Amino acid sequence: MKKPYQKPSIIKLRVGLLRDKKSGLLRMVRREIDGVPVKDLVRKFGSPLFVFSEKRLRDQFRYLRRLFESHYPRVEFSWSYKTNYLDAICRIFHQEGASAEVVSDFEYHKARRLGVPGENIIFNGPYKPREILKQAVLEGARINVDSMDEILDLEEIARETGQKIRIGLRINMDTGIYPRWDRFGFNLESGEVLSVARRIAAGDRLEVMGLHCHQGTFILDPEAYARAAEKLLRLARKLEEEFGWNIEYLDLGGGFPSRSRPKGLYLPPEVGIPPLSEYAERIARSLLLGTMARDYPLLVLEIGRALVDEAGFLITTVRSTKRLADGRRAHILDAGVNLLFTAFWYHFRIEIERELPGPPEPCTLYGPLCMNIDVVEENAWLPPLPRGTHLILSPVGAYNLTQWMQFITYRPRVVLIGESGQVEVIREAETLEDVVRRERLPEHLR
Amino acid sequence: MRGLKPVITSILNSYSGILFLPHPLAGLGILILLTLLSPNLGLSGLICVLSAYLAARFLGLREDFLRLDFYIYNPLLVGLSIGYFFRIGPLSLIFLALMGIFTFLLTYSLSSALSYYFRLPVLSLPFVMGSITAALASYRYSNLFVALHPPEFFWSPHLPLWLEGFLRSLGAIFFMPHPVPGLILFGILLVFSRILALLSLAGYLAGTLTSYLLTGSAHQAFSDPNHFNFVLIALATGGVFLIPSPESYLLALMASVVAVPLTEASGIFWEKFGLPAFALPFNLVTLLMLYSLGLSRYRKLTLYYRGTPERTLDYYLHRETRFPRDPDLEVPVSGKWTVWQGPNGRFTHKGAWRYALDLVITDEEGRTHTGEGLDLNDYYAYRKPIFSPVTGRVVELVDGLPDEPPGSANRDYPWGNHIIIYDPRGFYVVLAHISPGTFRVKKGDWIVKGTLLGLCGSSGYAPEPHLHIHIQSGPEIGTPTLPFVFSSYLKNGEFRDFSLPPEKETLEPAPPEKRLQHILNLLLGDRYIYEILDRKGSRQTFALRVEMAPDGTFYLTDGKARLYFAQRGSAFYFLGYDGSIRSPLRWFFLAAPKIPLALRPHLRWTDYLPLEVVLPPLKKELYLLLLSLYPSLLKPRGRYRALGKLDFEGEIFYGKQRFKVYTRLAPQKGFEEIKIQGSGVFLTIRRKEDERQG
Repeated sequence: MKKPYQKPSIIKLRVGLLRDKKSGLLRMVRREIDGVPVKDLVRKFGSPLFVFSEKRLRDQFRYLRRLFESHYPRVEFSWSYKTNYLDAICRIFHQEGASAEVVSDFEYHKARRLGVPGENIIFNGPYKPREILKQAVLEGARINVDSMDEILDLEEIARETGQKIRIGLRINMDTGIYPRWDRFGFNLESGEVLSVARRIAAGDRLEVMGLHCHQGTFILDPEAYARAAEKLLRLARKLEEEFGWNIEYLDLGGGFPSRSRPKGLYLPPEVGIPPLSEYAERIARSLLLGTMARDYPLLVLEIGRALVDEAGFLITTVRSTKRLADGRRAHILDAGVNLLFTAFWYHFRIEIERELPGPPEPCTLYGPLCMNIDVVEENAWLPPLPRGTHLILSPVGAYNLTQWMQFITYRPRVVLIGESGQVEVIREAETLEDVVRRERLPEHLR
Repeated sequence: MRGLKPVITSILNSYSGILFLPHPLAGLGILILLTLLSPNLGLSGLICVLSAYLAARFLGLREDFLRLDFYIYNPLLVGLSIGYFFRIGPLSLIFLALMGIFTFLLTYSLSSALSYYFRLPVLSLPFVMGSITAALASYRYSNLFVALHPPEFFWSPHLPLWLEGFLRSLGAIFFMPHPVPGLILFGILLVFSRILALLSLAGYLAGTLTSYLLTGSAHQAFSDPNHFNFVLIALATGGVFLIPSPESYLLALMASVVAVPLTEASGIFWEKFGLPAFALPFNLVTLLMLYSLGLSRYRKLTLYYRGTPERTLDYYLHRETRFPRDPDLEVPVSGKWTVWQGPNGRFTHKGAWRYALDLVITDEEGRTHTGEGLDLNDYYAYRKPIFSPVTGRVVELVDGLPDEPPGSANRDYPWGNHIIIYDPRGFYVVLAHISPGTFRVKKGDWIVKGTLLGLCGSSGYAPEPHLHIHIQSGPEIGTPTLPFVFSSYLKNGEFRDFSLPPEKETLEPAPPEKRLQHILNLLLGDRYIYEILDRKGSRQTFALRVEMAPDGTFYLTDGKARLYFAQRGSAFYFLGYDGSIRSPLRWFFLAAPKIPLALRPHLRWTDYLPLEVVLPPLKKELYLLLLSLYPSLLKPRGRYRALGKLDFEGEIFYGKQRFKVYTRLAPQKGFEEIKIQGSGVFLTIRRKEDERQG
């Protein structure tokens, strides 16, 4: 076959890149997602377009469940709503057996609306409005208390409803990682937890039945979880002995890494990020060895990112190309940081819909916003991209669809590729009507 | 006087016990029949058994006397045999008393020896020995007055030869070889157990017809009173010591037929000494059958005879199908595993080692590893925790053998690193192919169920990492294996209990939740008030109490009916029901025969229901007879499905009946609400209040 003509060019030779031969151009081509051609997706649903794979969502959930359950007999997965609370995504995880982890009245309402019974909701978060707190109590949700003021609120609710409320305590502690998140719950090392426990016992309206901690996000040290589990176990035993409570669950929160590449991580994710099996093993080992047989507490995991991130793709299109003053090539895409909030912290995998001729060269990918910060990727190695080329960015499943903004432009469609290959819209594109519906024009301005 | 009641019951039971019907009323009936038809016979028997009791009492064996249950019929039978030959007088009284004491001692010792060494019942062996002794001894006692006229009857019905022969034989069991007492005895059998009545006739005819075939003389065959042996053999084999079933019936007929030559032979043998043959053939044949069946681990031997074959069958149908006899273990792994090789497996589970399981982890595609499986770490099962399936003591632990790489196996040490745990229930559990250096327990440790033992590996004869588990009778590795079941597990979202998953099936442990364990831990002294509402809106209030039966089982009672319950493995069970079908307690059983202690939406399970909660008494008796012939005729089954963490619904069907049930547990303790719908029933049972007493 005759090779297409390529313009000659001179590029600087780069050595020592930590990439093997396979990770060259070939890997940067993605013609389809779950068997559906990218071209067809764009033609039918437009660009930009978020695409989720049901198969990947379910496979990942089943993989993680198999992994954790084969290491530890009592595990509950609680789907972290803030990671992605699209109805379709939540429903898939609930179908697979996950409960709902919510942190606000909005998320609580959303879970209830999806038909999740109160007892299958874990209510975290630093601010739980009084109203929703009472509803959660009445519906039997598991509430993890964040502050003393919340305890006072709950005691009042207990008085009103005349029932003893079973709660969880949020704990922060030193597990040897940096930065230490100490804003959630009560500190362990300073003894705050015990004095709060004493106060709860004295009030005799509440009863502690669980412990919760959330150490941080994208934690790269499995040992940190083992240490957290150990410390919580010790604390649980102490609370049981001292106050006669029955600590039924230990909630280790989330923070498990996905295969995204955080900025500042030098190694590629396959090398730099420990596999999740290591996390499972360490956590299970410290729980199994630290408890009396048969008394193994329920282990709750609020895995978000690691479940959903890799099932999400964003298809975007090159709308124009220019040279910057320093000679770098720049492309303007139709998706920017308005849709990709995580672009501030993570590098995405950038794939092209088809093989393109031409040597790769460093270039910058800008979004469509009229803002200097709208940079999707500062330094991507891509061949010359003709106008209209579709790029596929991944993983983008986590946090983007909850933190995206209606800013300057509309938010696009989200589709789900079902297990049998059918494509379904799970969120329609925004219209002017959606945006202005809540606006009110005062009489004198009409 | 209260202490006398069990003794009287026991003595009465001994009368009917001869026909395997230990029931005081039946006993009283037979006692009256004997005494009325032949006072001499009746009194002799009574005197003999009373002297046995007094002797037992004198020796301090009162409790043992009672415990012998209906085998105390041995002194009675010896008394009858003496009364048959001799008139009652001062001398024969002494003779009776002596023989009564002698036979009691024989029964007491023999029953202990037989059950200890051979696991066999004593039957009427002591009677055979006692009566022969009495007959031989009486040669010298010329002062005894021979009963010149054996019991005579003023009326003799004209019956077909076979029927007369049958009734005569039935009467001969009580030394009254005459159709009239035979007919009355048959009536008693019929009232108390249709199965026994049927067996008595079938056994007699089978044996006697064979005898007719061999001797060629119908008259001889049908008039031989010794043919009562066939009746007893059929009763014992078909209905008492085996669970009544088509199989047991066939075995009973076979045993009766097999006994034909023996009956003939022993008759001729004892005739030489001028002695009656008595029940020796019955004893010999029945014991032989039982011993052989026991040796071959026949699965349907009666463990505990419940008074009638019907009751034994009923118990077997709902208890033993729900809780088999094999020891139950907990699932020794965490998460979802797959049975790679089951009992009598394709590869290595053969011969004496057939009752074993090999477990692996598989993914959605059924593979046991990722990638190409060239590395041990690719295997899902590799280095996954293994837990103790029992509570017991570690008696052996082998460590230090390396994990074999995939595809290879250690032939010299096939078990690899393994652990042997002694369970005080009387067996040893073996878990093998553990990864070296991962044991968390050591030899001599006492460990409880669920203790972390070590990690799964591929040491020994293990082409890929897997867990091997079996139980065996001795402490040495390689002792023959024994069958076992898992007390509970999940199979694709279905709760299973007291069974083993077949090959290729998955299983997952179903550990109980503390909260549900607590909610369903109904304690002595708890009192729950319920109201029951029917369709017409009428309300009725009733209270339930928790009480304990003498054998230690707990039950709920409304004052009359009793609903037995227990927590076993990972579920709460209603075990049995005693009482009227009109008691509201019955609905509790229907609504929740078994509650997994880890309810969650979509969890499914099934259960069998005992006949007494679905059928009125008479119908139930009829069905039991039919069920012994066609075991699959009626299996009242319920299918249940959890809706939330505290409630579930179910569907019950048997015959044309269908019920929909709904149960909700109280968040604190016990049952909150039960709804029943279907087959003309529409009611709700709702908790009103409850109180706890001291």
